[in-house]
Amino acid sequence: MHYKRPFAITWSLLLFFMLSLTACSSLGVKPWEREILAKPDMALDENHMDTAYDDHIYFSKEASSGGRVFSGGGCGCN
Amino acid sequence: MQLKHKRILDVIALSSLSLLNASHVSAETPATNGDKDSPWKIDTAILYYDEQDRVNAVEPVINISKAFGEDSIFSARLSFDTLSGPSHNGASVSNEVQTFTSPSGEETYEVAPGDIPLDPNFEDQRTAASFQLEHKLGRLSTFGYGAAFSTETDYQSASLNGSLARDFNQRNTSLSAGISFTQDTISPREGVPVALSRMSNLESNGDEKKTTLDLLLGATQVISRNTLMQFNYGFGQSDGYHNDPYKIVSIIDRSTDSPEDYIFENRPDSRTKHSFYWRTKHQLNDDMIDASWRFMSDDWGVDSHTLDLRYRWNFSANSYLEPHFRYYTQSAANFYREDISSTEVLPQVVSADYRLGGLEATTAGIKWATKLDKQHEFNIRVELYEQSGDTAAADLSALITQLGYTFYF
Repeated sequence: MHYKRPFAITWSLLLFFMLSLTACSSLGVKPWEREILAKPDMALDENHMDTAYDDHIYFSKEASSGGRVFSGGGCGCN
Repeated sequence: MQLKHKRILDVIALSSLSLLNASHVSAETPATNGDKDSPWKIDTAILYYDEQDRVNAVEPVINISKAFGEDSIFSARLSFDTLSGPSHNGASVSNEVQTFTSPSGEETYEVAPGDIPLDPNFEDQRTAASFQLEHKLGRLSTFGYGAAFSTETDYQSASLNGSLARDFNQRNTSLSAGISFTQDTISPREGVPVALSRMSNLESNGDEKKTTLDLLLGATQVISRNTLMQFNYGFGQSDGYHNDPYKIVSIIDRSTDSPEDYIFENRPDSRTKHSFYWRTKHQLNDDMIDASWRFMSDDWGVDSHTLDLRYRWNFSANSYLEPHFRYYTQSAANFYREDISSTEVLPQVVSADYRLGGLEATTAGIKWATKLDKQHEFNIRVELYEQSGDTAAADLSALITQLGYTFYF
Protein backbone atom coordinates (compact mmCIF):
# COMPACT_ATOMS: atom_id res chain seq x y z
CA MET A 1 0.00 0.00 0.00
CA HIS A 2 2.94 2.29 0.05
CA TYR A 3 4.41 3.53 -3.11
CA LYS A 4 6.08 6.60 -4.41
CA ARG A 5 5.36 8.27 -7.67
CA PRO A 6 8.43 9.24 -9.65
CA PHE A 7 9.30 12.78 -8.67
CA ALA A 8 9.73 13.71 -12.35
CA ILE A 9 6.01 13.16 -13.00
CA THR A 10 5.02 15.36 -10.11
CA TRP A 11 7.38 18.13 -11.16
CA SER A 12 6.22 17.90 -14.77
CA LEU A 13 2.65 18.37 -13.62
CA LEU A 14 3.67 21.34 -11.51
CA LEU A 15 5.59 22.86 -14.37
CA PHE A 16 2.53 22.47 -16.54
CA PHE A 17 0.38 24.36 -14.05
CA MET A 18 3.02 27.05 -13.58
CA LEU A 19 3.29 27.56 -17.34
CA SER A 20 -0.46 27.68 -17.70
CA LEU A 21 -0.47 30.47 -15.12
CA THR A 22 2.34 32.48 -16.68
CA ALA A 23 0.41 32.48 -19.94
CA CYS A 24 -2.39 34.15 -18.09
CA SER A 25 -1.91 37.68 -19.38
CA SER A 26 -4.19 36.72 -22.23
CA LEU A 27 -6.66 35.07 -19.88
CA GLY A 28 -9.35 36.72 -17.86
CA VAL A 29 -12.48 38.74 -18.38
CA LYS A 30 -13.61 42.34 -18.67
CA PRO A 31 -15.11 43.96 -15.58
CA TRP A 32 -18.62 43.65 -17.01
CA GLU A 33 -18.17 39.89 -17.55
CA ARG A 34 -17.99 38.98 -13.87
CA GLU A 35 -21.59 38.07 -13.26
CA ILE A 36 -20.88 34.36 -12.74
CA LEU A 37 -17.57 34.90 -10.94
CA ALA A 38 -19.31 37.15 -8.45
CA LYS A 39 -21.78 34.47 -7.39
CA PRO A 40 -21.33 33.13 -3.85
CA ASP A 41 -20.95 29.62 -5.39
CA MET A 42 -17.70 30.72 -6.98
CA ALA A 43 -16.18 32.23 -3.83
CA LEU A 44 -13.02 30.39 -2.80
CA ASP A 45 -14.07 30.05 0.83
CA GLU A 46 -17.73 29.38 0.17
CA ASN A 47 -17.49 26.08 2.11
CA HIS A 48 -15.30 27.43 4.89
CA MET A 49 -17.09 25.59 7.70
CA ASP A 50 -16.79 22.26 5.86
CA THR A 51 -13.17 22.74 4.88
CA ALA A 52 -12.21 23.80 8.41
CA TYR A 53 -13.73 20.59 9.79
CA ASP A 54 -12.07 18.56 7.03
CA ASP A 55 -8.66 20.10 7.75
CA HIS A 56 -9.12 19.26 11.42
CA ILE A 57 -10.08 15.64 10.79
CA TYR A 58 -7.43 14.87 8.19
CA PHE A 59 -4.71 16.67 10.14
CA SER A 60 -5.20 14.21 12.97
CA LYS A 61 -5.52 11.09 10.78
CA GLU A 62 -2.92 11.62 8.05
CA ALA A 63 0.72 12.78 7.86
CA SER A 64 0.02 15.82 5.65
CA SER A 65 -1.68 19.13 6.34
CA GLY A 66 -1.96 22.60 4.88
CA GLY A 67 -1.48 23.47 1.22
CA ARG A 68 -4.79 25.26 0.81
CA VAL A 69 -4.14 27.29 3.96
CA PHE A 70 -1.35 27.30 6.55
CA SER A 71 -0.58 23.89 7.99
CA GLY A 72 0.28 25.38 11.38
CA GLY A 73 1.38 23.50 14.46
CA GLY A 74 -0.40 20.90 16.51
CA CYS A 75 0.51 17.53 17.90
CA GLY A 76 -1.47 15.22 15.62
CA CYS A 77 -1.85 12.83 18.51
CA ASN A 78 -4.38 10.03 18.95
CA MET B 1 -5.21 14.70 26.10
CA GLN B 2 -4.19 13.64 22.75
CA LEU B 3 -6.01 15.37 20.00
CA LYS B 4 -4.47 17.18 17.20
CA HIS B 5 -4.80 20.81 16.66
CA LYS B 6 -5.36 22.60 13.53
CA ARG B 7 -4.73 26.20 12.91
CA ILE B 8 -7.62 26.92 10.65
CA LEU B 9 -6.45 30.16 9.18
CA ASP B 10 -8.24 30.88 6.00
CA VAL B 11 -6.33 34.06 5.45
CA ILE B 12 -5.12 33.32 1.97
CA ALA B 13 -8.43 31.94 0.83
CA LEU B 14 -10.15 34.98 2.24
CA SER B 15 -7.68 37.38 0.64
CA SER B 16 -7.93 35.86 -2.80
CA LEU B 17 -11.64 35.73 -2.52
CA SER B 18 -12.08 39.32 -1.56
CA LEU B 19 -9.88 40.39 -4.44
CA LEU B 20 -11.83 38.48 -6.99
CA ASN B 21 -15.26 39.48 -5.99
CA ALA B 22 -17.06 40.62 -2.94
CA SER B 23 -16.13 38.75 0.20
CA HIS B 24 -18.23 35.94 1.56
CA VAL B 25 -19.54 38.25 4.21
CA SER B 26 -20.87 40.77 1.77
CA ALA B 27 -21.63 38.80 -1.38
CA GLU B 28 -25.35 38.59 -1.83
CA THR B 29 -25.95 39.05 1.84
CA PRO B 30 -28.97 41.00 2.94
CA ALA B 31 -28.23 44.71 3.19
CA THR B 32 -28.95 46.63 6.31
CA ASN B 33 -30.92 49.85 6.11
CA GLY B 34 -28.77 52.49 4.50
CA ASP B 35 -25.73 51.13 6.31
CA LYS B 36 -22.50 50.66 4.38
CA ASP B 37 -21.44 47.89 6.75
CA SER B 38 -22.64 44.38 6.03
CA PRO B 39 -24.77 42.59 8.62
CA TRP B 40 -23.07 40.11 10.92
CA LYS B 41 -22.90 36.67 9.41
CA ILE B 42 -23.09 33.86 11.94
CA ASP B 43 -22.14 30.36 10.88
CA THR B 44 -22.88 27.65 13.41
CA ALA B 45 -22.27 23.94 13.00
CA ILE B 46 -21.89 20.76 14.96
CA LEU B 47 -19.85 17.79 13.84
CA TYR B 48 -20.21 14.23 15.03
CA TYR B 49 -17.23 12.10 14.06
CA ASP B 50 -17.66 8.41 14.78
CA GLU B 51 -14.98 5.79 14.10
CA GLN B 52 -16.14 2.19 14.13
CA ASP B 53 -14.83 0.61 17.40
CA ARG B 54 -12.50 3.55 18.05
CA VAL B 55 -12.57 7.26 18.72
CA ASN B 56 -15.63 9.45 18.48
CA ALA B 57 -15.76 13.21 18.68
CA VAL B 58 -18.30 16.01 18.96
CA GLU B 59 -17.28 19.47 17.85
CA PRO B 60 -19.57 22.51 17.85
CA VAL B 61 -18.21 25.60 16.08
CA ILE B 62 -19.36 29.18 15.77
CA ASN B 63 -17.88 31.56 13.22
CA ILE B 64 -18.82 35.23 13.05
CA SER B 65 -17.87 37.65 10.29
CA LYS B 66 -18.65 41.15 9.16
CA ALA B 67 -17.48 43.61 6.53
CA PHE B 68 -16.96 47.19 7.73
CA GLY B 69 -17.59 49.45 4.77
CA GLU B 70 -15.61 48.31 1.77
CA ASP B 71 -12.25 48.40 3.50
CA SER B 72 -12.22 45.90 6.35
CA ILE B 73 -13.39 42.39 7.11
CA PHE B 74 -13.41 40.83 10.54
CA SER B 75 -13.98 37.18 11.38
CA ALA B 76 -13.64 35.10 14.52
CA ARG B 77 -14.13 31.46 15.35
CA LEU B 78 -14.70 29.50 18.52
CA SER B 79 -14.79 25.71 18.77
CA PHE B 80 -14.96 22.96 21.39
CA ASP B 81 -13.98 19.32 20.93
CA THR B 82 -14.79 16.38 23.07
CA LEU B 83 -13.13 13.10 22.16
CA SER B 84 -13.14 9.66 23.66
CA GLY B 85 -12.70 6.04 22.66
CA PRO B 86 -9.94 3.52 22.06
CA SER B 87 -6.88 4.65 20.09
CA HIS B 88 -3.98 2.62 18.65
CA ASN B 89 -0.95 2.82 20.99
CA GLY B 90 1.63 1.87 18.33
CA ALA B 91 2.33 -1.70 19.47
CA SER B 92 2.04 -4.49 16.92
CA VAL B 93 -0.53 -7.29 16.99
CA SER B 94 0.65 -10.36 18.95
CA ASN B 95 -0.50 -13.94 19.33
CA GLU B 96 -0.18 -13.53 23.10
CA VAL B 97 -2.04 -11.42 25.63
CA GLN B 98 -0.29 -8.03 25.88
CA THR B 99 -0.30 -5.87 28.99
CA PHE B 100 0.39 -2.14 28.74
CA THR B 101 1.08 0.46 31.41
CA SER B 102 0.20 4.13 31.03
CA PRO B 103 3.05 6.64 31.39
CA SER B 104 1.97 7.34 34.98
CA GLY B 105 2.20 3.66 35.84
CA GLU B 106 -1.25 3.98 37.40
CA GLU B 107 -3.32 2.46 34.64
CA THR B 108 -2.81 -0.86 32.95
CA TYR B 109 -4.84 -2.55 30.26
CA GLU B 110 -4.72 -5.84 28.44
CA VAL B 111 -5.11 -6.62 24.77
CA ALA B 112 -6.27 -10.05 23.64
CA PRO B 113 -4.19 -12.20 21.22
CA GLY B 114 -4.73 -11.16 17.62
CA ASP B 115 -6.32 -7.84 18.55
CA ILE B 116 -4.99 -4.44 17.51
CA PRO B 117 -3.46 -2.82 20.62
CA LEU B 118 -5.82 0.03 21.46
CA ASP B 119 -5.48 2.28 24.49
CA PRO B 120 -9.00 2.44 25.93
CA ASN B 121 -8.19 5.45 28.16
CA PHE B 122 -8.10 8.04 25.42
CA GLU B 123 -10.07 11.15 26.25
CA ASP B 124 -9.65 14.79 25.41
CA GLN B 125 -11.33 18.18 25.51
CA ARG B 126 -10.12 21.08 23.49
CA THR B 127 -11.09 24.71 23.17
CA ALA B 128 -9.89 26.78 20.22
CA ALA B 129 -10.37 30.44 19.36
CA SER B 130 -9.10 32.54 16.50
CA PHE B 131 -9.69 35.85 14.78
CA GLN B 132 -8.76 37.35 11.45
CA LEU B 133 -8.77 40.94 10.18
CA GLU B 134 -8.32 42.18 6.67
CA HIS B 135 -7.82 45.76 5.49
CA LYS B 136 -7.64 47.28 2.05
CA LEU B 137 -4.41 49.10 1.23
CA GLY B 138 -5.27 51.38 -1.61
CA ARG B 139 -7.41 50.14 -4.46
CA LEU B 140 -5.70 46.87 -5.29
CA SER B 141 -3.95 45.56 -2.19
CA THR B 142 -5.09 43.89 1.00
CA PHE B 143 -3.32 43.35 4.29
CA GLY B 144 -4.49 40.59 6.63
CA TYR B 145 -3.49 39.39 10.05
CA GLY B 146 -4.80 37.18 12.79
CA ALA B 147 -4.13 34.99 15.78
CA ALA B 148 -5.24 31.58 17.02
CA PHE B 149 -5.12 29.83 20.38
CA SER B 150 -6.10 26.42 21.55
CA THR B 151 -5.84 24.53 24.78
CA GLU B 152 -6.25 20.91 25.84
CA THR B 153 -5.41 19.01 28.98
CA ASP B 154 -1.92 18.26 27.69
CA TYR B 155 -1.41 20.62 24.78
CA GLN B 156 -1.38 24.37 24.20
CA SER B 157 -0.93 26.13 20.91
CA ALA B 158 -0.68 29.80 19.91
CA SER B 159 -0.10 31.27 16.48
CA LEU B 160 0.12 34.59 14.66
CA ASN B 161 -0.18 35.20 10.95
CA GLY B 162 0.04 38.02 8.42
CA SER B 163 -0.49 38.27 4.69
CA LEU B 164 -0.40 40.65 1.76
CA ALA B 165 -2.33 40.30 -1.47
CA ARG B 166 -2.52 42.38 -4.64
CA ASP B 167 -4.60 42.34 -7.79
CA PHE B 168 -3.12 42.65 -11.25
CA ASN B 169 -4.22 42.39 -14.84
CA GLN B 170 -7.63 44.13 -14.52
CA ARG B 171 -8.22 42.10 -11.35
CA ASN B 172 -7.94 38.86 -13.27
CA THR B 173 -4.83 37.83 -11.37
CA SER B 174 -4.20 38.13 -7.67
CA LEU B 175 -0.98 37.24 -5.91
CA SER B 176 -0.64 36.76 -2.19
CA ALA B 177 2.04 35.96 0.36
CA GLY B 178 1.42 34.89 3.94
CA ILE B 179 3.46 33.96 6.97
CA SER B 180 2.42 32.17 10.12
CA PHE B 181 4.30 31.41 13.31
CA THR B 182 3.06 28.80 15.81
CA GLN B 183 4.31 27.73 19.20
CA ASP B 184 3.07 24.51 20.79
CA THR B 185 3.62 23.23 24.32
CA ILE B 186 3.18 19.54 25.09
CA SER B 187 2.56 18.80 28.74
CA PRO B 188 1.12 15.34 29.51
CA ARG B 189 -0.16 14.94 33.06
CA GLU B 190 2.53 12.39 33.87
CA GLY B 191 5.30 14.29 32.05
CA VAL B 192 6.69 13.60 28.61
CA PRO B 193 8.12 10.07 28.46
CA VAL B 194 11.84 9.99 27.65
CA ALA B 195 12.16 9.02 23.98
CA LEU B 196 13.27 5.43 23.44
CA SER B 197 12.87 4.63 27.15
CA ARG B 198 11.36 1.24 27.92
CA MET B 199 7.81 0.90 29.13
CA SER B 200 9.06 -1.57 31.76
CA ASN B 201 11.41 1.09 33.15
CA LEU B 202 9.66 4.32 32.39
CA GLU B 203 11.36 7.70 32.69
CA SER B 204 9.66 11.00 32.05
CA ASN B 205 10.52 14.68 31.80
CA GLY B 206 8.61 17.94 32.06
CA ASP B 207 7.10 19.91 29.19
CA GLU B 208 8.31 20.03 25.61
CA LYS B 209 7.92 22.68 22.91
CA LYS B 210 7.63 22.93 19.17
CA THR B 211 7.79 25.98 16.90
CA THR B 212 6.47 26.09 13.35
CA LEU B 213 7.03 28.63 10.60
CA ASP B 214 4.75 28.51 7.58
CA LEU B 215 4.99 30.47 4.36
CA LEU B 216 2.25 30.43 1.75
CA LEU B 217 2.49 31.99 -1.70
CA GLY B 218 -0.71 32.06 -3.72
CA ALA B 219 -1.88 33.00 -7.19
CA THR B 220 -5.50 33.17 -8.26
CA GLN B 221 -6.33 33.56 -11.92
CA VAL B 222 -9.63 34.20 -13.66
CA ILE B 223 -9.56 31.94 -16.71
CA SER B 224 -12.89 32.78 -18.25
CA ARG B 225 -16.34 34.08 -17.31
CA ASN B 226 -17.09 30.83 -15.50
CA THR B 227 -13.70 29.42 -14.51
CA LEU B 228 -11.08 30.42 -11.99
CA MET B 229 -7.92 28.75 -10.79
CA GLN B 230 -5.92 28.92 -7.62
CA PHE B 231 -2.33 27.82 -7.16
CA ASN B 232 -0.41 27.78 -3.85
CA TYR B 233 3.09 26.92 -2.83
CA GLY B 234 3.57 26.27 0.88
CA PHE B 235 6.72 25.88 2.91
CA GLY B 236 6.72 24.69 6.52
CA GLN B 237 9.58 24.35 8.96
CA SER B 238 9.02 23.00 12.45
CA ASP B 239 11.59 22.51 15.20
CA GLY B 240 11.38 20.91 18.60
CA TYR B 241 9.34 18.05 19.98
CA HIS B 242 7.53 16.12 17.23
CA ASN B 243 6.84 12.86 19.08
CA ASP B 244 3.45 11.61 20.05
CA PRO B 245 4.08 11.09 23.78
CA TYR B 246 1.55 8.24 23.93
CA LYS B 247 2.90 6.09 21.11
CA ILE B 248 5.12 3.07 21.69
CA VAL B 249 7.01 0.58 19.48
CA SER B 250 7.09 -3.19 20.12
CA ILE B 251 10.45 -4.93 20.57
CA ILE B 252 9.93 -8.44 19.26
CA ASP B 253 11.87 -11.57 20.15
CA ARG B 254 11.94 -13.16 16.70
CA SER B 255 12.69 -16.64 18.07
CA THR B 256 9.36 -16.77 19.87
CA ASP B 257 7.63 -13.99 17.88
CA SER B 258 6.49 -12.43 21.15
CA PRO B 259 6.95 -8.89 22.45
CA GLU B 260 9.92 -8.57 24.82
CA ASP B 261 9.23 -4.95 25.77
CA TYR B 262 8.02 -1.64 24.34
CA ILE B 263 9.84 1.64 23.87
CA PHE B 264 8.44 5.15 23.54
CA GLU B 265 8.79 6.42 19.99
CA ASN B 266 11.28 9.05 18.84
CA ARG B 267 10.78 11.22 15.76
CA PRO B 268 13.30 13.68 14.29
CA ASP B 269 13.40 17.06 16.06
CA SER B 270 12.72 19.02 12.89
CA ARG B 271 10.57 18.70 9.80
CA THR B 272 10.60 20.61 6.52
CA LYS B 273 7.54 20.43 4.28
CA HIS B 274 6.79 21.66 0.77
CA SER B 275 3.31 21.70 -0.65
CA PHE B 276 1.77 22.50 -4.01
CA TYR B 277 -1.93 23.07 -4.29
CA TRP B 278 -3.98 23.58 -7.41
CA ARG B 279 -7.69 24.20 -7.51
CA THR B 280 -10.27 25.01 -10.16
CA LYS B 281 -13.81 26.23 -9.78
CA HIS B 282 -15.98 26.02 -12.83
CA GLN B 283 -19.59 26.99 -13.28
CA LEU B 284 -21.50 24.57 -15.50
CA ASN B 285 -24.92 25.92 -16.43
CA ASP B 286 -26.44 26.32 -12.97
CA ASP B 287 -24.12 23.86 -11.26
CA MET B 288 -20.59 24.25 -10.00
CA ILE B 289 -17.56 21.98 -10.08
CA ASP B 290 -14.81 22.41 -7.48
CA ALA B 291 -11.71 20.27 -8.03
CA SER B 292 -8.36 20.39 -6.27
CA TRP B 293 -5.13 18.46 -6.07
CA ARG B 294 -2.42 18.79 -3.44
CA PHE B 295 1.06 17.35 -3.50
CA MET B 296 3.10 17.45 -0.33
CA SER B 297 6.63 16.28 0.32
CA ASP B 298 8.71 16.45 3.51
CA ASP B 299 12.20 15.52 4.66
CA TRP B 300 10.81 12.60 6.68
CA GLY B 301 10.17 10.79 3.41
CA VAL B 302 6.42 11.36 3.37
CA ASP B 303 5.07 12.24 -0.08
CA SER B 304 1.34 12.59 -0.41
CA HIS B 305 -1.30 13.30 -3.03
CA THR B 306 -4.80 14.53 -2.25
CA LEU B 307 -7.58 14.79 -4.79
CA ASP B 308 -10.79 16.55 -3.79
CA LEU B 309 -13.92 16.84 -5.94
CA ARG B 310 -17.21 18.55 -5.20
CA TYR B 311 -20.15 18.98 -7.51
CA ARG B 312 -22.78 21.47 -6.46
CA TRP B 313 -26.10 20.62 -8.02
CA ASN B 314 -28.31 23.71 -7.69
CA PHE B 315 -31.54 21.84 -8.27
CA SER B 316 -33.70 24.77 -7.21
CA ALA B 317 -33.25 28.46 -6.51
CA ASN B 318 -32.95 27.85 -2.79
CA SER B 319 -31.47 24.38 -2.41
CA TYR B 320 -28.55 22.34 -3.59
CA LEU B 321 -27.09 18.87 -3.23
CA GLU B 322 -23.33 18.52 -3.23
CA PRO B 323 -21.66 15.13 -3.62
CA HIS B 324 -18.08 15.11 -2.35
CA PHE B 325 -15.27 12.69 -3.08
CA ARG B 326 -11.74 12.77 -1.69
CA TYR B 327 -8.81 10.45 -2.29
CA TYR B 328 -5.57 10.54 -0.30
CA THR B 329 -2.38 8.52 -0.54
CA GLN B 330 0.94 8.85 1.26
CA SER B 331 4.30 7.07 1.34
CA ALA B 332 5.81 6.00 4.66
CA ALA B 333 8.20 8.13 6.71
CA ASN B 334 11.69 6.65 6.51
CA PHE B 335 11.76 5.96 10.27
CA TYR B 336 8.41 4.17 10.31
CA ARG B 337 8.63 0.56 11.56
CA GLU B 338 5.90 -1.87 12.46
CA ASP B 339 8.15 -3.20 15.26
CA ILE B 340 11.83 -3.66 16.19
CA SER B 341 13.76 -6.91 16.58
CA SER B 342 15.24 -7.50 20.05
CA THR B 343 18.62 -8.37 18.53
CA GLU B 344 19.07 -5.25 16.40
CA VAL B 345 20.80 -2.03 17.42
CA LEU B 346 18.12 0.33 18.68
CA PRO B 347 17.36 2.94 15.97
CA GLN B 348 17.76 6.58 17.01
CA VAL B 349 14.53 7.63 15.33
CA VAL B 350 11.60 5.25 15.12
CA SER B 351 7.82 5.36 15.18
CA ALA B 352 5.18 2.68 14.72
CA ASP B 353 2.38 5.24 14.40
CA TYR B 354 0.40 3.90 11.44
CA ARG B 355 -0.26 7.48 10.33
CA LEU B 356 3.43 7.70 9.39
CA GLY B 357 3.27 4.46 7.40
CA GLY B 358 2.04 4.01 3.86
CA LEU B 359 -1.60 5.04 3.86
CA GLU B 360 -4.55 5.37 1.53
CA ALA B 361 -7.88 6.96 2.34
CA THR B 362 -11.14 7.78 0.62
CA THR B 363 -14.03 9.99 1.64
CA ALA B 364 -17.40 9.90 -0.05
CA GLY B 365 -20.41 11.87 1.02
CA ILE B 366 -23.15 14.31 0.23
CA LYS B 367 -24.34 17.66 1.50
CA TRP B 368 -27.76 19.17 1.29
CA ALA B 369 -28.30 22.87 1.89
CA THR B 370 -31.40 25.00 1.73
CA LYS B 371 -32.15 28.66 2.23
CA LEU B 372 -35.12 29.02 4.56
CA ASP B 373 -35.35 32.68 3.63
CA LYS B 374 -32.89 35.44 2.72
CA GLN B 375 -31.32 35.41 6.15
CA HIS B 376 -31.35 31.79 7.24
CA GLU B 377 -29.73 28.73 5.74
CA PHE B 378 -29.61 25.14 6.94
CA ASN B 379 -27.33 22.36 5.77
CA ILE B 380 -26.47 18.76 6.58
CA ARG B 381 -23.48 16.73 5.44
CA VAL B 382 -22.95 12.98 5.79
CA GLU B 383 -19.69 11.35 4.74
CA LEU B 384 -17.89 8.05 5.11
CA TYR B 385 -14.13 8.13 5.64
CA GLU B 386 -12.14 4.93 5.14
CA GLN B 387 -8.44 4.34 5.69
CA SER B 388 -6.13 1.42 5.01
CA GLY B 389 -2.37 1.10 5.16
CA ASP B 390 0.73 -0.93 5.95
CA THR B 391 -0.75 -2.63 9.03
CA ALA B 392 -4.16 -3.68 10.31
CA ALA B 393 -4.04 -0.75 12.77
CA ALA B 394 -4.59 1.55 9.78
CA ASP B 395 -7.90 -0.06 8.85
CA LEU B 396 -10.40 2.50 9.97
CA SER B 397 -13.87 3.55 9.03
CA ALA B 398 -15.54 6.71 10.27
CA LEU B 399 -18.95 8.27 9.78
CA ILE B 400 -18.91 12.06 9.65
CA THR B 401 -22.17 13.90 10.26
CA GLN B 402 -22.36 17.68 10.24
CA LEU B 403 -25.30 20.01 10.79
CA GLY B 404 -24.96 23.68 9.94
CA TYR B 405 -27.08 26.76 10.38
CA THR B 406 -26.21 30.22 9.06
CA PHE B 407 -28.01 33.47 9.75
CA TYR B 408 -27.50 37.22 9.48
CA PHE B 409 -28.40 40.07 11.71
